[in-house]
Amino acid sequence: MTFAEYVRENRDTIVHLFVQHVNITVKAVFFSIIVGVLIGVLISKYEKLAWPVINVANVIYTIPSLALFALMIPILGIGKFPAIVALVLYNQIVLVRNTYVGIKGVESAVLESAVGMGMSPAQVLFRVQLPLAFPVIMAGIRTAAVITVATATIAATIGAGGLGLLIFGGISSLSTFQILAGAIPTMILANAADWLLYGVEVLVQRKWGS
Amino acid sequence: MRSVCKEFVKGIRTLDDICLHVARHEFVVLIGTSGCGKTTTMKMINKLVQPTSGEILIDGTNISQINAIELRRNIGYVIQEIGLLPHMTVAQNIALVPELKGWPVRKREERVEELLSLIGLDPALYKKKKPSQLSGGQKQRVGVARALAADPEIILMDEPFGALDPITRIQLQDELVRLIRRVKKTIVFVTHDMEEAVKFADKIVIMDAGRIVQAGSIQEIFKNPKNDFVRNFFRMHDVYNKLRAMKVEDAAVPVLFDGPRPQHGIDAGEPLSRALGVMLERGINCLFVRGTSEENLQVTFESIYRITGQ
Repeated sequence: MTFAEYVRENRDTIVHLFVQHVNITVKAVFFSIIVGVLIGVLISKYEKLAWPVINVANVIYTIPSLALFALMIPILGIGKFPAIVALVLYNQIVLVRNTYVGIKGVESAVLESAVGMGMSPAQVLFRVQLPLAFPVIMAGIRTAAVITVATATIAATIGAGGLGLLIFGGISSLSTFQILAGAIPTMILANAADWLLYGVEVLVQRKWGS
Repeated sequence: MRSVCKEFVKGIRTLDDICLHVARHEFVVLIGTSGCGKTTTMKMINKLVQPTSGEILIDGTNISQINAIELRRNIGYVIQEIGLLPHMTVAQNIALVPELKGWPVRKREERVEELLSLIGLDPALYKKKKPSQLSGGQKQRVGVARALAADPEIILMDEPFGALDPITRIQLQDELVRLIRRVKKTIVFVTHDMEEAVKFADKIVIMDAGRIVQAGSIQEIFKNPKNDFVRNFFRMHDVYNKLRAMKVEDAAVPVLFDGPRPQHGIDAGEPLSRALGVMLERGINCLFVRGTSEENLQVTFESIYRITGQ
């Protein structure tokens, strides 16, 4: 049996798991962005929190991903929800750090004139700081998306499904085809996500860039 | 301002007992060396800095009673680093305060066109440009236009021309003088450059170490300087007056047969200050003098130095 035949035979399963994988990834990235950017904005306002928060995020990132998923089980059980929580936790370092650095990187003269002209703190944030920090935040989002697609394969170990099922199944049944059927779509998905987000970045920059 | 004090660090007075009255449509220049408190004084007017004690009144209203954001929208603000918002177009930058104040789009657009023409930038060409596409001088022109946009009564300017090259700076200063005559504003202007102060000021406020040393019209201070510190500021200005009064031909000397040949030229009728400016800017030490009966004349640092009697 060739690989092509294997794929044809198991097409429905692969497509089903692919969709499941996309589903987990999109949700995880979406919530990661909300949480990460929010925390990044907060620590840029409350500077004292910046160092401890970034360090905590960093420590989380150093937990081996397999262990992080396993640690979710006693707290949140198994399934999709704990997997997404683990992925969101995992992504915080790039998102929090990039949001913080991006906001802090806004030139002080630009801020001073924005405040001096009578912008409210919210206007300064949404109309000056976030737009100017956008390229840096976007870089973080792209990294997070790629990491999430790859790491989500491990979510299969706690019953979240996705392409990881094929990879782990392939390992235990010594089926190279099955491993490849999980790995190749994962890689395609990771690259597609990166390019898609790059496209978004280019479009936004064309409209709002300096 | 009534006996305003500011302590950034408790017990250390950055500003001490500043009392200052600015009349309507007066051009007041705060001048002093770096760190004398002139910028801090200015920033208290639009509440970017809060006074530790004392009060600031605008038209009889204590500004502590006015919402800071509301206050700032009614005071023009220009800073040395300009601070145009880099992600917005020139038009969006200029229209920012009118927009914050909720002007209708039509009125904002008209205002942008009007102001761009006023500062000598063709609206059709410059409206849609981003700040990064402008030269330093153009950026600061836009900075000034932005401060004028919502037609505020009061404008604060913090060394607006400090970062520009000498030629652009003089050009912009002259433009500002013309502009101010037309728009009639109350202006508080911070600089460390006496030349600028003399050019603009109805009233000069000389500051040192957080205090006002002397305040008054140029003539008053010139006739009756209070102490050496004030005298020092004016002596520097003396040289500059001489340089502006003299012409290039006054300092012209023959080009030496075996000396360096000047690479650039300047007209004999130009003020000597212009020659010095060009030399400093280009980093050269001599200029050909054009338009004289004699051939082969030049000005050098030495010839300028000799004639100004320094």
